[in-house]
Amino acid sequence: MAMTTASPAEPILTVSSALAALSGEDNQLRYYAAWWLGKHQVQSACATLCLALKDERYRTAQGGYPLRRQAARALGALKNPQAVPALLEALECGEDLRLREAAIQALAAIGDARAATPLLDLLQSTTEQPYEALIETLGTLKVWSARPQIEPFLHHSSERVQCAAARYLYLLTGEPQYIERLVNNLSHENMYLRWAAAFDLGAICSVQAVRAIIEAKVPNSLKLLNLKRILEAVLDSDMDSVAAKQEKSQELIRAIDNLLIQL
Amino acid sequence: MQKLDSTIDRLRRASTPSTAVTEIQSLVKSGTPRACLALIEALSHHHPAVPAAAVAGLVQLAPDSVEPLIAAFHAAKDQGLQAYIVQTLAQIGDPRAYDLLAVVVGVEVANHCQGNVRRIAARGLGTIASIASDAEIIHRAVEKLAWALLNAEDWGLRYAAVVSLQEIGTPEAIALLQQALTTEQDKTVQVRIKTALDG
Repeated sequence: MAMTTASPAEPILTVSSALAALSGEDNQLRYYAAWWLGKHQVQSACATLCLALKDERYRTAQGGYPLRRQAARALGALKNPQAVPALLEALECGEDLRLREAAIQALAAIGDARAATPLLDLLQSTTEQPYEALIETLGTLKVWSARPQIEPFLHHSSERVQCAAARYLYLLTGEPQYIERLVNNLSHENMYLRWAAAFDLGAICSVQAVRAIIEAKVPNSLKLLNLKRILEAVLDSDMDSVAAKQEKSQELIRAIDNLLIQL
Repeated sequence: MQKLDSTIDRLRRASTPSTAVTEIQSLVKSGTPRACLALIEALSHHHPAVPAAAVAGLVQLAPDSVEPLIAAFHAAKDQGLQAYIVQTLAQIGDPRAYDLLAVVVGVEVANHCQGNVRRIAARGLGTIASIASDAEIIHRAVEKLAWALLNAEDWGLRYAAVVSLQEIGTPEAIALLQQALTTEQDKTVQVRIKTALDG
């Protein structure tokens, strides 16, 4: 193993050691500190994490800003509306699309309506965007005026983006055709797409989503497996409140229980 | 009697699934043992709506349908027919079906029965034991379900065992669920055990 010149890493166990590490010299440790602060939802770190969205010290050879991305994710975990202006500013960083994606997802987690107009602007921009996160967030924030711009994405070259558009349109209209698009992907040959579809359905899990799966023309064992995937996506998700998570998982458990006696 | 014969005859010659379902329903109303045999025959119909109606009818005709179903299971050569019989007996929950369902659940980690049929049989043991007054039957069902919960490879079978143990709800069943909570690795089965213990 190669020796590194990294400073002796003190394990981060407290808020003060995390904040100290964030302003330290070791970029790996700074990155870990940002994650730690988000993981433990340290609200008092909100302003410091907002400053880290402008960090210049940690850059990859490709021009990415790893610390900024991690700070954005941490701010999403904090769900603190005070971070919204700084995250909106981070959206403007056109050099790092993954930073933009992380900022968009953080804005979705915070759920603040101030994000609507800047996100619509991105959707209408002519340059490449992190469309999956963008469309999902417009759905989460219920920005329904974007419908005409989002409909064409049902035919986008990326299946992930297609699913995001289907999710948006389902949340807006409640029409089964859109949820079926997601249900179809539950049996996609690509494992990542299957998992992502389960995650999407978990996020919008409703009585209707469960019914669409139960009524799908697939073998019973596949229905059980799909409901299981969605249940586990719901359990892993940190987008919901404890009560909402509980309600969704109980709904899925009831559906699985009932399928057990079907052939 | 003649009326029954002609209904059975119409069921056999039914040209559409919906006429077959209608004949099944009038057979159920007649409520005779011979109707049971005709309904068991209808379990082999190729259109899934017909066996589904026959299963519902045979459940309604219980307990008269239990012995003919058990006999038909042993005589059957077709796994599809056996699967419908297991489904019917599982829903009825008559203790006379205990041995048959216990064999289907199995004694080995993997057996020749399909996963969905084993799951249904495990649910049937729960129904039997939750209705039964015979402490011996209840104890045997709990032991069989405990075996499935702690040994089966199929998460669906373990999950079915959890639901059945919850349904039985004796101190022995609850203790087994508590024990399984510490060893169960599957997230879905684990959350189902927690739900059972909270309920």
